[in-house]
Amino acid sequence: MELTLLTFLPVIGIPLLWASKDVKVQRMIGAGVSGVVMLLSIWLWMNFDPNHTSLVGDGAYGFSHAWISVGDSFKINYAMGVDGISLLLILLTGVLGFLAAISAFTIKTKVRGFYAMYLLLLTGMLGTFVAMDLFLFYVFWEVMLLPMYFLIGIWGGKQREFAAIKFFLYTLVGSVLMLGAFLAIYFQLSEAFASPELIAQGLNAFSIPDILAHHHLIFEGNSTVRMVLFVALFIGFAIKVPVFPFHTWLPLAHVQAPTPISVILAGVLLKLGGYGMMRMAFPWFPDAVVTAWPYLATLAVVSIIYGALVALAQTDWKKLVAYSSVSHMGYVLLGLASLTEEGINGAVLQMFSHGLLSGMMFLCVGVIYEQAHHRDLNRFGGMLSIVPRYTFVAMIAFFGSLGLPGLSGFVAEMFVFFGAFKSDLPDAKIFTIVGTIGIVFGAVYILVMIQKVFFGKPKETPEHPYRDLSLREGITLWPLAIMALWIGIYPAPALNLIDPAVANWRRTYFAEHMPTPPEETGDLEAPDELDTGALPPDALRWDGLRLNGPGRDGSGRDSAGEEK
Amino acid sequence: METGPLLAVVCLFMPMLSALLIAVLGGRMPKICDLIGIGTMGVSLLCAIVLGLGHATYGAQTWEFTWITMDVGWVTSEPLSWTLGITVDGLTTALLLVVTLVSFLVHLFSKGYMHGDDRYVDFYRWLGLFTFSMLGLILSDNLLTLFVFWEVMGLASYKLIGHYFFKQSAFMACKKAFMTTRVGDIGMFLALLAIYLYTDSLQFKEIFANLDMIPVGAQFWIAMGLFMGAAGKSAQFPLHIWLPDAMEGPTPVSALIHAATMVAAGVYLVGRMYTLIVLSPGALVIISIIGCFTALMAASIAFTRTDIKQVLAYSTVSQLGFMFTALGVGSNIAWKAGLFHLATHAMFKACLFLGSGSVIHGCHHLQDMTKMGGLRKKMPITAMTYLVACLAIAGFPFTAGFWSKDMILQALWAGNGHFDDVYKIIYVVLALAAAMTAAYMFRSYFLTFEGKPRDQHVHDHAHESPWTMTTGLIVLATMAIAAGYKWHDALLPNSPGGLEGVLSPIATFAKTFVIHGEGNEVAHHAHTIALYTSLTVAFGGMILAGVWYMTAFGVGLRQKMRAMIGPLYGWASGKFFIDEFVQMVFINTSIFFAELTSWIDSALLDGFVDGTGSVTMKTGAASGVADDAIVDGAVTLAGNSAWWGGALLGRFQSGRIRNYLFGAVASVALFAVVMLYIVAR
Repeated sequence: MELTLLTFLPVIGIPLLWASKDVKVQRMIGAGVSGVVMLLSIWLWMNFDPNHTSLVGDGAYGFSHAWISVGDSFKINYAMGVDGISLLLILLTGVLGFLAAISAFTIKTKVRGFYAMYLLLLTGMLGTFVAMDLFLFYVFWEVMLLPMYFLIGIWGGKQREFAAIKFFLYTLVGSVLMLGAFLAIYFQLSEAFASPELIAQGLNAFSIPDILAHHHLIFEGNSTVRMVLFVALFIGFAIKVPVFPFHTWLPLAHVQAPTPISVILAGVLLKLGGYGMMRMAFPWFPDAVVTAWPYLATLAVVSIIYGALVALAQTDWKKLVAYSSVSHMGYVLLGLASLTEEGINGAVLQMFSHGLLSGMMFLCVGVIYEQAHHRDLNRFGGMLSIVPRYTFVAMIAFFGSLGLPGLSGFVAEMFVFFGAFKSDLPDAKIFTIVGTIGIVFGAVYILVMIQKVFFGKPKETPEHPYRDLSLREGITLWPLAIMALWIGIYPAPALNLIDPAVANWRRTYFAEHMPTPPEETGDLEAPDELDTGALPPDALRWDGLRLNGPGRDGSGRDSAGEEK
Repeated sequence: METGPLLAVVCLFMPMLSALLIAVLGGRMPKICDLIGIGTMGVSLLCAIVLGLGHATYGAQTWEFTWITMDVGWVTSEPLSWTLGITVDGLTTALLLVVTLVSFLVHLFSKGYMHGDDRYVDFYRWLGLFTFSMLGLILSDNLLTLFVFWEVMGLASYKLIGHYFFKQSAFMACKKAFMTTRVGDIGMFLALLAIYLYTDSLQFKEIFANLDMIPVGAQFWIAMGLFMGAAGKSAQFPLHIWLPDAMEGPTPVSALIHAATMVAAGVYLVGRMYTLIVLSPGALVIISIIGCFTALMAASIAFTRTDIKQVLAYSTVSQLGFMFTALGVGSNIAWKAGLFHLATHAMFKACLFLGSGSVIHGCHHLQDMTKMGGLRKKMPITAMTYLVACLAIAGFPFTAGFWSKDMILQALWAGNGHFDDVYKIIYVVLALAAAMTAAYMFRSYFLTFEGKPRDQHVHDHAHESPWTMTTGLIVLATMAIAAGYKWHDALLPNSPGGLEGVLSPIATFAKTFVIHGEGNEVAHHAHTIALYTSLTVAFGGMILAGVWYMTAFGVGLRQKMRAMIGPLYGWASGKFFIDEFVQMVFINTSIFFAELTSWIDSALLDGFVDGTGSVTMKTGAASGVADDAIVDGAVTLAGNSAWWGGALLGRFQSGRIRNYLFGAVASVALFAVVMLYIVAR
């Protein structure tokens, strides 16, 4: 019930927009509805028990109702559920959704239409995070695309139409790959679920939790097909993340979108890719993840360094920020693929942190763009003395993005690196060492940009002298800055929310696939001296692991979570 | 919380309070921000002094809390806590005293020096934040918060170097400083990763308790990684290039950050992690070689500088090299010598920098020594304090610098049992660097304060600085002598001394090392040799400078010698072209790769995407044409035929009964004929 309310609240708010012709009232309604969504997401977070890692059934907010059924075999459920990971992202969506709605007060044309689309977009995003049925998930996934298309295409910059079409088509390619994989999995699992041993349990091949619990039944024994399906799903989500080389839709879309939509695009939409990997691609095919690790890590490291290098070469301020997203989201992939507690926690934190910081950066760029009507880095200068209050909060955003300790980006990236370095997967240390080069290049492009914009002397006088941060802009920026500081100094509240879910995720799906045996007692001399060859193959299988892992009878699904 | 940590926390948060108060009040009351800064630093200094005097009673104390907990188990739940906290031991207390004292005096000095500056408020705010992070770094009981404060300190340094942000040289310098130290930070960060991997903790006590978990190969790389971070922060070759440029910041900043405290953080890091670093003799000897090379190189560059601040900057690089050379030996005495020199250096170098600031202030922002001369009569206090500090850095007997430098040489001569021949060579080179130090420091003194005024205009307008500035000079000059005694006495184990209680924990800490080859006899022998060496180099250098710069004969001699070493002088005055090398090899390459990847991104990757789109569009257009001509053509044809047929048939639909009747009859007839034909067949 709570999740249904959360998801559909924005849509319910849409008719309210027609209550008044006054643009100001419409803005208030748009922001007000998003504000209620934010409060609801905070309420959900406050009342959630992080140790509850079950997604449906008796989960904290989870439920499943029959929705569409054709005969006995084709059953689609209206199922929703959350765990700590999705709840953190819902919280991010709520906060960014509200703040972006406020920053959208600068939209002057077709305000009603804008907010209608905006609220529909919110529903799409929230629905994607809570959907626990593949069909429902796909519906929300596509619901999200359409308003985004219009929001970029109508309210965007000069190249808005091209950008909108490119964004739509590119992400549609991802959707199609995803849909193909969904259908293959559905048809194959339906058969498997109809086997005599399982039929009594009434499993549903559209249900995400059921697939998670029986992920090993997907084309069991056929590792090639499993790898193909994993790659299809991975690319589908990698386009959203975006991971190199599937990122080229992003700069154009980010640059052409109006400021609030850039914020949502970078802040929330990209996270859906990471979320999809965590919820589907990775845990459904853990064996494929372990096999594909060198490639995943390569893509991640290349994304980190490549994104930073390309950002360095940009002269368009917004494009620089857009490419910084490619670099920062590379950390998410590296952390996830490392399959360590530190790494995955870092990846989730990085998603949250990137939402805050890139949101802030886009808002900051927007403040100046609105006044200067250009974003050419070579034409700014000396902002530090012209707009000191703006400079102060912008520095928090940019230095946070640079990975300055004390701000959220550092904590997240640090955990990712700690996890990746600790990972038992082959060559993990080499990938990590190469990845740390990203720390330097990440600093270069930010510092060069700061120097061009804030230092030196103004290179040209604008038509109207720049004004300092307005109250409304302050309201959108400061909460994000405070949250970035909070996560950067004391991440425990966020970490406590995700850690049990992450630990359960790792143990349930990946423990049996890790290349080295789990270290139960500390009697081994040093971790690097572990050698799988020296141990009998049976040593890899611990009784405890079998209990905690997904039992073939499906009974051990949530035992790891309940054990605590 | 026990008394020690409580005092330390108060001491730590006072500068933070200052930064916050100034941020809040500064806009409305710019006049009082200096008072806030000086007042809070005064409280911090008091706390540090109380802590120092009471250390005998407090002893080593820690206070910690659980920062986060993660469940890292693969089989069952295994919570792993990251504990952070502060530790108050001898080393901490000693450095707290140094940092708070210099910071307090610099806050006071800035009141005079920065008077009338546009960004006076900002300056004090960042000064507060800097001191906070430096104190935090010293108090950290773990590598994580140490690294956090390390970086925040880098930010404060960045902001303060870029204080005159509208000047190109300033903003280039602050970027360079941040970037260069960041390169070093990669090494440090990787060392942190490795330490965490093997010991599951970043707390010093946990790391030292689990040293045997670290494999031998990793020990070397961890030590090198930590040293790489230290080299970035403490400006060791080849990462020293940022420090001379950092002199673009206001002079008090140079005194506090780029001479006395922040640049010493690298030395502190190596000193703090010594228990780990001494495990690897290979790493130690590399640290020593780099330190020694840096000391010699920077000293030779310092000879060629005419900007008074540049001389001091290279002198700082050189002196930091002395500290690392000492730490690279890896014995008790070496550890003591390195950190002892850190503290004494902080005193006399801060005094020199503030003295140069006083000169610059008195000469109306002139920094070129070739235009000075004879300023002693105009600025007696500044000249006296500068002279005392020069004596200290040169190693004149019974000054602080004499004791610490002597101890360094002693440690080098004694060695550690590994690579002793290398350490002997280092000893000789370092002695040469020490002689050069004495010479170039007195060169700067003679050029500035003695002789005849070379620019009468400057000389006429020069004036002594106000009390806010000279107070700091006097206190620091006193400390440049006094620090040696207190430290020296206290640092020697089993010897009575005034402040032994404060510093003895360092001694106990140091004694825990088991180092090969440090017998009493060796130590005694080394002591004698080092004493003679340090006396020789100190006097040799000073006399040389005196002859060169104060006598007519010397000037000619100097010219001759310069001609003799010709190219070497050119290299030194070109700073050995390291900046150019870095620019060419690293920066230009990076820019090239940035442009290249940007091109790849837009032309190849995105070109592929757009190309796919465009091919699709063209296929669409082509199939549109085909659709029109063939598919739709067929449909149209069918439609048209129907129409034509209809039209044709329409003709029969005349409305005349007789025609219909004829049709009907004809049809029936035709039908009948056909039927008959079929039946008959």
